[in-house]
Formats: sequence, structure tokens, C-alpha cells
Amino acid sequence: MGDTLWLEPEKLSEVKDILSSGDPEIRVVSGGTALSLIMKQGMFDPNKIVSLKKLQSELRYITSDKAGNVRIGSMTTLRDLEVDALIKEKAPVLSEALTHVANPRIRYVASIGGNLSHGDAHLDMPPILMAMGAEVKIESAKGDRWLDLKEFFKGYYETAIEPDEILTEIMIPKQAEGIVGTYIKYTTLSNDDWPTVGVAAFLKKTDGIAGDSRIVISAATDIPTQLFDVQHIIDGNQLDKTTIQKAAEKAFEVAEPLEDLRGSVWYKKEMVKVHVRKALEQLAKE
Amino acid sequence: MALGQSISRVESKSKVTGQTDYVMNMTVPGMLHVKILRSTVPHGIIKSIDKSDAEEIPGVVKVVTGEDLKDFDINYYYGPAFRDQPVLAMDKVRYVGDPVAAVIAESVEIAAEAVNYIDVEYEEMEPVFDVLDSMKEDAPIVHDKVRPAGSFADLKSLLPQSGSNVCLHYKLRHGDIDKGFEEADHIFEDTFTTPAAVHLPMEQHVAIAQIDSEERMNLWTANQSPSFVRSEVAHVLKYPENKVRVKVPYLGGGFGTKLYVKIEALTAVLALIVKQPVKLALTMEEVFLTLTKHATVFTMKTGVTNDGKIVARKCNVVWDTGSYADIGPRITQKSGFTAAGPYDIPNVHIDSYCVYTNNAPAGAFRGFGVPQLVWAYESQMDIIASKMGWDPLEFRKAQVLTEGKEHATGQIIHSVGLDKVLDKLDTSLEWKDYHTNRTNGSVTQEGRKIRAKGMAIGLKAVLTPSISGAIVTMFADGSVSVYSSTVDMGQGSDTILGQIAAEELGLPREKVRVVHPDTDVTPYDTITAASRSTFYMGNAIQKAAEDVKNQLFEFASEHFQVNSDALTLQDEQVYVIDDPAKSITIKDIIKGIYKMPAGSIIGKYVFESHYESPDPETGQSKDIAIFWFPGGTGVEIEVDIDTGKIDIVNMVSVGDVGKAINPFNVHQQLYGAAVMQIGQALFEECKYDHGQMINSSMSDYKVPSFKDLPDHSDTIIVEEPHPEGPFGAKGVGETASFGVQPAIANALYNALGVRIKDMPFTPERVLRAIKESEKEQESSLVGSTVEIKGEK
Repeated sequence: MGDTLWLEPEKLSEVKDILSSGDPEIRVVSGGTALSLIMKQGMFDPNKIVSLKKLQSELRYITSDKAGNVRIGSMTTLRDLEVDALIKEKAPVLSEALTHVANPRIRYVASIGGNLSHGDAHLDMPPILMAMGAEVKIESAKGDRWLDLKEFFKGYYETAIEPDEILTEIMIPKQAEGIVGTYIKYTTLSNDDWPTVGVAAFLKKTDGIAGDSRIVISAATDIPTQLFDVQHIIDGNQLDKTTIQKAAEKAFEVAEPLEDLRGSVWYKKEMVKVHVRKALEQLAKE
Repeated sequence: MALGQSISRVESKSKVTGQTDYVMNMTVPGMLHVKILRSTVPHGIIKSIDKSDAEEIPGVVKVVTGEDLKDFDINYYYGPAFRDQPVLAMDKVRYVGDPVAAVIAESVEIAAEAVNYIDVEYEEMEPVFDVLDSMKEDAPIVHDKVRPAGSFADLKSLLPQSGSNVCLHYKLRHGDIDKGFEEADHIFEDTFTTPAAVHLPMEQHVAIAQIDSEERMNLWTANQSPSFVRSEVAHVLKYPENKVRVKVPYLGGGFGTKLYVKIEALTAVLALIVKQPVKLALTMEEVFLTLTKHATVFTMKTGVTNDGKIVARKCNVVWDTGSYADIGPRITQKSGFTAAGPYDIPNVHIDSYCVYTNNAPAGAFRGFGVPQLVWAYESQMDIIASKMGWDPLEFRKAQVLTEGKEHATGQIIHSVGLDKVLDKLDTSLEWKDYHTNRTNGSVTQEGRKIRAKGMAIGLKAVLTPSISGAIVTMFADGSVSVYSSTVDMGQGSDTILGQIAAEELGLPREKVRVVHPDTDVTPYDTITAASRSTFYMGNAIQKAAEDVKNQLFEFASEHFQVNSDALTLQDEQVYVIDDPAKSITIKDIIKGIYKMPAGSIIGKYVFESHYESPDPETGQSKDIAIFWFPGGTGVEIEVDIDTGKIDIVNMVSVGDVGKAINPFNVHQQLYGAAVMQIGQALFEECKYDHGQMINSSMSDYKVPSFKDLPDHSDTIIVEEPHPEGPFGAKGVGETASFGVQPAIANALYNALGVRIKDMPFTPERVLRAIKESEKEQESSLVGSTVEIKGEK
């Protein structure tokens, strides 16, 4: 510590140039709410920190494109998203969930790009965005690529971003007509704690029949995990008690949680089951 | 008049506008910074310390180890009960976190960096973490030799045991326990446990030490006991007490973790070594390693008769005091003697053990051990009532201690409104309706959530003996300063103590200022803790103010040619009661006394408690506590039977405070103490892996947030005046901490028939209990060992 170089480039192209060395000891920072904790705990000591604070005009935006997809710049703060009218209209589950993320002081500085790049399985945005089919734009001096969020999370605090890359945009595709969704954040310590289990559930109801379901669990597992086996049980069936019960049992069966201070493997499997059920019961009512 | 008025806190504005001075924000010229290297092993001999690399880092002034202290003529050990804690580890380390070396540097950052370059080699010894294992004969010994301390009168009789980890065994024998159990128709035995937990005040431990031109040691510290810090640091430095000056501004919270000496001895010694001012500010992570709340194992055996009387109670309480005794021995004794509960029980037998382990040191925590005891005895009250088919409220009422009854210590109880506390719980919980309906089999049900109510009461004895001195000075313009060593740590003592002086002197509150502790200026006070300040310091201030008033009356009686008792002091004037036209202003009296508009009138008083030391074999004493204060908690909870999560829908805290000097402040104290206990009850717990705390950060050790507050809360004041209290007042800081945990546990039982005996009631623990009880639905005993006489 003490030898860390602090850089504040003014253009995205400069950021990409700095990162092009591929040095894993360089870290990009926006709000700093995650990185500062890790550094304080002595878990990570970067030799260069690239602050994005001067890239607000380039990377802080929420728009909708011609196809009706929502496009979010990576420097957009969580608070921006929480109060944005377009998000409230196109992704109300996200707006609602954000009111329970950390506290307003954090939400005013933490960015959505940082939130995803951190790769922390306890966060609330990844499962919701994943369930909505979001994609992320990853740029480097070599070029750009788009990645489905399902391919993005690789492990505990590990993402697909290479050392020379930076996440610049999130795209939430236009949700089909009739899609309903919900997110449940379940905590076991204080009510402002990280979730022990997060469940994001989206599906389409046509005459009572469920389809196109996307069930993602987080926090209990090392990465946000889409439960395809559970979706198979739901899709094409009445969203009734039997289906919901079967889906919940399947979730218990397939979930592979990690034990930690917030619960044992057994308890987390139970909670995955209970909250998948609760999420589906909620969607059945809508 | 100031008495009974909810005057807002005198410091509120400066706190919310960020202008209050805290030691954390203080600097002095030429100040250096300290960081501590802490032991990474739980028990071991220090074989070598290589500090050369660290000392070569630019900006590092010196690295100090225990070995370096030997060059100085000082005492290495300190502590309030036993002097067992070294300024820095001298030869061995006793827990993960034990201070081993201190880096003194020009900046905090350099000091923190340099700590990583100190190389320590340990020879590891077998550690002991489980408190029951630690009591066994073949357990590794944490302290080979224990040095008694001599600072407190009540602790003089507590002689440490050597050659064992049991550093204190307190005994209480009242009546004939064997005969009592013979008379009982039913005997219940249960074991209850509590984990280590932490206080987490917003401001961490912090101290600045500076040697002045007179070669005196000056300390600014965030500490609840400035007088003790002065005498103990004087002991360490081998200085006379008048060469140590301790100043304490406002504290950002205390809750017991800032009592006695924590970092002050080390900070002072380091300033002595480098001959420059030094500041030591712990990080929040280090606060977790500095002091915890005692983990306990409490086995309680109770005999009851068929007509609903408790006739015998045997208590075996084991306190895990960790690697250093701190104030554990006093908790073991003073809370230990309340272990049988606030009940009239003819035969009581208590063994209370203070036990060393290789865990972090444990000490005072708001409630001083009483919450751990209430948790057990009030849980068992409901276990018994349920098994016997009695209303738990009526069962309590049938034996609760009332005026003139004898406590298990042998003291005759007076001025405790326990019956009134129970009455308030009864009405505020609508208990009778609830209980009647519940026994008819209906529990309010809302989908997969079940609601139920529960209650608990507790009784604490104030720290006795102890001393509070105060000086009240009236200046020529009639304004007043109060000199008191009571620390305002957020509890509002500046406001209340000022109100007491204002009331006595007939002054508006704003004419009185309370001077913050400065041991050069403010008289000796035992500690700011134990819910004692309103009573002890309030008494001292009231009587010191009376001393001022008497001096005013002395002049006025001469002036009006009447007796002093014919006078009254009101609105800054002395009146002749029968002839109010005859009056003289305070200013004119002072002008009259000194023949000029200058000078001051000085009143003083030292309030000492009366006390009879308990018999060492039986714990009996006719006068063990100067006052007793009861509290009760009622809750309505909602349990999610799918997750096991408990939500507190309603919480009622009732406290008998004698007289509420400032009712709003009293409500705040009741509410604050109760909310703190919600965390302890539901999720707070220090988790260790081979002695290493694994949740020592606020990310992983959670405390209640605004989202955890009960949907509805009430605080109810009961006033059963104490004849010796200032205007009848007793204490309140800990009152609402007693009953929260058992009230929740009892409500949980009432909801689901599930009895939990280990804290905290995490959702996982509750869900496991629910699943287990589903398996063994028929077990109506719910885990309590019940012996029915004649069936043996």
C-alpha cells in the first residue's frame, strides 16, 4: 500500500490503452464501494487504480433503443436506476429491488458496471438482470464483444472480463408482452444484511399457462445460477399449487449452495426451495 | 423547575451538526501514530521477534515489544479485578488478537504498513476454547500466576485461584437446598447457553498520550472510567496519581467496552518510551478482538410444589471470561447472586464460576451479565408454567419479590416495583385475553406465519459499594458549573445531572453547565456504568448543590434576621417563605458576601454507599446493594414457519426507574437497551475457528438496523421511588436489556411449542427446532428434564 498509482483518464480510449498491458494488478474503479472494502481488508493491493470519474458523460446514461431494449452505461449509479422513469416502466422489478440494496449513501456512488464486474454472488442486480436476459458490452483496445450475463459470471468473485477489458454497457432486451417477474431477497442476520438467498423469477402467462420462465438463484451459490431444470417443470403448465410445489422441490434438488456464516448447505437448500415457491406463488397471483 | 421535564439533550445540536469533539478527531502537535501487531496463535510462547525490517521503513520511529518494556521501571500488568493483562505480551500470548508489538510512526498508514514487516516466532501451546473443557483438571492453564488488584473494595475479597482456569468461584447458600428439593412435587432441570457478542459503539477505542513540561502523563481517551484510568495508569508508570491527568470528552458510545483500562496503559507507556505524544486508534476490526460479552453455560434446577410455589432453586453458572479476567470476577459475583431470579425462594444454592479460556477477553456489556441470567431463569419459568398448566404471568406473580421480602442474598428488598412491572406487562400485552384464548387452542395464524406473545422480567442490583464526588460552583452572576467525572457516552448524563443541580438551586437548566471529566479538576467517580450515575452522581450533585444553597441561606438568614428553614430559593432569588416581599437575588447575596460583584460559592459532596461484604462461604449479606432495579419485556412475534425467521411485531419495555428526572431521556434509554438486545437474541454471535474470529467486521457481524426495529414499540415508566435516590430516582441504562431474549423465546414456544435454549435464535436454529418438533410431535416435555417425585 502507498505505492498505488491513481489514474484519472478523461476518455474511454485512454482507459483501454492503460488496460492493454493486461496487467492483472491494474484495477478499474467507479464508485469504489466494493474495491475499497477489499483493499481495507488487505485482500487485494492493486499497483494502479484507474478511476472512471471523468467518464461520466461517456458512460452514465439510461436510454432505450429503436428495438425497445434498455441500454445502460456502466457508470450509471444504482440510485440513477432506482429513480429512473424508463427503468420503472421497463424493469420495475429492478427499481423495486434497488430500494433494498445497501443504503442511499452507497447507492448514490456505486455503479451498475462495478456491481456486475465485482462478481460478488451476494449482490441483487445480477440475478434480476440475468433473468431478464441482459447482455453486457465488454471493450478493450483490441475491440468490443457482447456477452450474455449467463456466460459472464465464472466463479466466486470471478467474471469473464479479461485484464485488458472493461464493461461499458448493459442491455436489457425488451420483455415480451405478458411477462411478469419478481425478486425475493432473503436475509438471515439483520434485515439490512446481504441476502442469504436471492431468487429472481420471470415468466409469461398465457391463459393461466406459464411459459418462457427464467428462474435465477443467487447468494446461496458461488455464482448467480439459472435453474433450467426448474424452468422445464414450469413451462407449459398451469401455474398451480402442484406445479409450484414440484418446481420448488426440483430447486431444492438441483441447488448447490455453499455453507457460510449465513447458513448451512441444508438450510440454504431449504431456503432456495421456500423462496422459489414464494416467488412463483407471487407470480401466480399477478 | 427542571425536575421531571423532558428537556432536550444539551449536546444534540453540536452532535447533529458535526461539531462535537471526540478523541477520534483530536490531534496534538508533534503527535505520532501507533498500530498494533497482534498474536496469530491462540496460546503460545513468544520465541523471538524480529523487528529490524519494520524499523528500517522510513517514517517508523520505533517498534516496541514486551522485551523493550523491561528497560523501564514500570509495572507490566494491569486489570480491574486481577492484574493479569500485560501492557504488551511479555512472554506468552493467550488469544488470537493479543497485542504483541506496537509500531510508532509518523503516520497511521506507515505504522500499518510496518506491522507487516515484524516477524514473530511462536512455540504453540495447546489452547482451550470450550469453557467447560477449561474447568477440567487436565486443561491447559491460561495463567500460571494471577496477581490480585486492589482498586475496588468489593473485589478485595475475590482472591484468584491458582493452578486452575477457574479464576473465581462465587457461592451463595440460602436456606436448605436439599430440604427444598425434598419438599418439591416436581423438579425441572435445563441448561441454557449464550454466545460471545460485541458492543460495537460507533466510535472505536482511542487514546492520546502526551508527557508535558512537568513530566506529567496527560491522556485524552474515549473511556467510561477516567478515575480508574488515572489510578491504574499511575500504577503502571509508578507515578503518583497527581502526575497522571485523564480527560474524557463526549464518547461515541460505550456499552461497557470502554470501561477500566483498555488501550490507555499501552498508549501511555509508548509516549513515555518515545518522549513524544502518541495516538492509538483501534480499527473496528480490532474492537471485535478487544472485549466481548461473556459467553455462558447456565444449568438451572428448580423444585416446585403442586400449589405453584418455587421451593428450591440450584444455579450453576459458568462465565467464559476469555484470556484476561477484565471485570469478569465482579460479574461472576455481582450478577451471580441474582441468578435465581426476582423471586421469593426459600432455598437457593448458587455456584458461579469465572473461567479463563484462550478466547478474546470478556467483560462488562450493558446489563453486566444479568441478561444472560434472565434468559435462563425466565425461559425456565415458562417451561415450568407450561408443563404444570399454569398461567406464566400468575406463576410469576405468586413468587415475585415485593416490599419487605427477603432476597436470596439475605437482603430485605424495598423500593422495587416488580409487581407493578408485571401489571404493566399484563395490560399492555392484553395478556389475560391472550392467555385464555391461547389455552383454548387458538393461535393467531396468518398464512404460513404464526403470531404469539411472551414476557420476561429481571432484577439487577446496582454496583455497591461505590463512590461519586461532585463539586458545584456558583459564579458571581448566578450561573453554575457542575464538576463531575461521569462520562456522557450518549446516555444523556450531562442533561440529567444538570437538571438535578438546577432543580436543587431553583435555576433554569440553561444556567447550569456540566464540566466534562478531567481528573485534574473533577472529583473521583468509580465508573460510568451499571446504571449507577443518576443515583450515585445525582446524589453527590444534589448534595453539593444543597451545600451551595445553604451558604446562600446563611447570608440571607442574617440579612432578613430569620432562620434558614424559613427561606426558599426560587427564580434566582432567596425568599422568606412567610413574607415573600422579603427577597434577595443570588447576585446580591454574592455581592454581599464578598463586598464586590465577584467571587464564587463552592459546594461539594462525596456520596458513598453503605455496604456489607457478603460471607465468602454463603454469599449472605444484609446490605449487598444500595438499590435494586427491575425491568420487564413483553413481545408479540410473528414466526415464518417456512424459514424460521422471527419478526418482532410489538415490543413493550417496562422499567421501574424510581423517578424519571427527564422522562423522554428515560424512554430513550429503555428503547435503546431493548433494541440492542434484539440483535443479541436473533442473530449476533462471535464466530471462531480455532480461536480466530471469522466474522470480525461489520459486513459479517450484523447489528440491528432500522429495518429490524419492531413494527410497534412501547416504553413504560414505573416510578417506585427510592428513599435514598435523588428525588427518588434509581438507574435506567440497563433496565430494558434484561428480558428481551427470554420474552422472545417464550413467545416462540407459545407460537409453535418449540423451546430453544441456545442463543441466538437464528432462522436456521428455529427451523431445525420446528422440523425436529414435527418429528417428535408427542413430546410435551419439549426437552426439559422433568422429574416427578414418586416416579423415580
